[in-house]
Amino acid sequence: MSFATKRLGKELAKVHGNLPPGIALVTAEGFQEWLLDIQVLDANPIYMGQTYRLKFKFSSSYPIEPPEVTFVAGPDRPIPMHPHIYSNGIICLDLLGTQGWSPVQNVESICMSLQSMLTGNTKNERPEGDEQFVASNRRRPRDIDFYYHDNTV
Amino acid sequence: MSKREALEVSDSTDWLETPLRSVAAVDSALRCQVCKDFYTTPMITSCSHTFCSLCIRRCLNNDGKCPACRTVDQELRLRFNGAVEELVEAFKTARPEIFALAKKSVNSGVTSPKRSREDLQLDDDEKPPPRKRTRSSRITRATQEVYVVDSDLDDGDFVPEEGCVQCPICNKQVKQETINTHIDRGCADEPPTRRNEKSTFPISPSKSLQNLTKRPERLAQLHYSMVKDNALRKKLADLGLPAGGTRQGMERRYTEWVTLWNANCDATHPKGKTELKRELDTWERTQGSRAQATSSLNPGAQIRDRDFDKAAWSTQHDGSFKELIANARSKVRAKAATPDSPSRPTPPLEPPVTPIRGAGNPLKSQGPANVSMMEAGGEEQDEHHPDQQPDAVNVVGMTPFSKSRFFDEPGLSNPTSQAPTSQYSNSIPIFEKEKDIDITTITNPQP
Repeated sequence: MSFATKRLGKELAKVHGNLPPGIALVTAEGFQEWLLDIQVLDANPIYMGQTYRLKFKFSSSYPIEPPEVTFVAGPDRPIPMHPHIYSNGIICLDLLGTQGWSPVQNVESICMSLQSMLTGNTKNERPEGDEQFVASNRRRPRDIDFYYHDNTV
Repeated sequence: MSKREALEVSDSTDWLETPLRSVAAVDSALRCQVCKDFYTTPMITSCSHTFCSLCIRRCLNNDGKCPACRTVDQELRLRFNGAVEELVEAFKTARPEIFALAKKSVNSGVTSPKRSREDLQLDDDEKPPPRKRTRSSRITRATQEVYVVDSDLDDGDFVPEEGCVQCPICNKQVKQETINTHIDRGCADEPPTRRNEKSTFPISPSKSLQNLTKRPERLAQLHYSMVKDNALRKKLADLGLPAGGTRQGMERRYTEWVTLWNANCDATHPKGKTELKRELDTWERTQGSRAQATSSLNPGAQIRDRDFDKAAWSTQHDGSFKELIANARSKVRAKAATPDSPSRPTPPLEPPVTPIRGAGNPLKSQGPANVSMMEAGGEEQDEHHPDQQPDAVNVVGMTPFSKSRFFDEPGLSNPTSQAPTSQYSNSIPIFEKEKDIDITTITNPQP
């Protein structure tokens, strides 16, 4: 059993027990891919009444390496509008890159960070060059070099 | 082992359903933040955060930063946190008892004070033996230490005053006679053990017993850019580890071995080498399955994946490869049979040309098949083309070895196993980028 499986098993036990408000586990089949739903709880008009679905993909080096986290679209599961979230669900957040990641983070803390990233946002817009990026990107999120310039989020 | 298995599912949140909710904080404080399990050989960083030895060593190997506060730290500066280990061991023993008691009081509804008193009494009756044991063992250890101090012989830890000088570089207390060699070795000669059991010590019998289980020496990580393939392979073989696989695979294996080994050196009761090897094997198997796990929907992306598993790929496409080899062989044979014929006749036994599934490049029917095959298998192998070409002519005689010749050998010896399609700079091999965090920060584009 790899250390990733062991650690994810512990996280799963915790997730089943109690999650913070606005975060719900959808599926966690095996220790490779989990789906979670998040909601923004305060009255931010951009996200009110919406639920967003997150997909976590774990490598066998988790938590040494960050998981791959993206928003996935589905029926009544839109991709949230945010200047750092591309319309294909890829999230530009330093926490999820190799530079910003730390093994003390976990699924719950990532969800909470994303919740607060949405809560604090006031711009109802996509990142610059979204269309071009979405059309041309074939890389996996972890292979993309984001430049984390915005410290206001 | 079974005990550990049982603890595996335990979590600090278990306490939230019991009346002893406040124990959750105690439980959680005794767990490593990386593996979420109770500390195994806790080590404290220079920023005063504690993690399991193995966890923090893996983290520091990965990015050289403390996982809790992102301060830069080094493996050499880790120190054993004995008090925490003692706490963890005591709590692990007490936990099932306390937990059972807490659960019982929930099940029996409102607990009568007398009943719980009895339970507590029982608990107290049960508890003393282990507690006493640990205390007595500590006492014996303490008396040993007294022996050591009394006999005023040179034991690294216990004679800080006499005959010691402070190293001007690392401020450590070092014996006067060894200070020069200490400085010569860049202050790195003394591994951070709490007990130095290397010194031979004939006086106290308990001490000589400890000498029998001599603490293993720590290994140093390599600067891989300065180690050639063969040297690395030899190092692995010298350690008794598998020396096959790609360059990248060997590097990762060596790193993991050093991590496992050094973490084991920190432990109060180090494991045997065989057990460590088994752990390395488990690690390799769980890490190696990565490429297989990813979907083959986007083959281009899979090949450029830095974890691309060549072994799995070659077994998966074994059939195609064999067919191609047969194809090439029959062509050579046909050519040899009719050397002067201007248009090569197709021999009847030639199988239909099959493209390698998933590789994206349908093979050209022209030319020696092994060339295109190797191109499909991974770009890094083309260095070997010239050597392989003459073989293709004599290919008839090498039937049983052909597969290993074509796939294992070339893969062994190339440092740049990363396809140049990645977004990272083509000139920098990928493992350098990962290891050298500083380089990446410097090369990050400015806005």
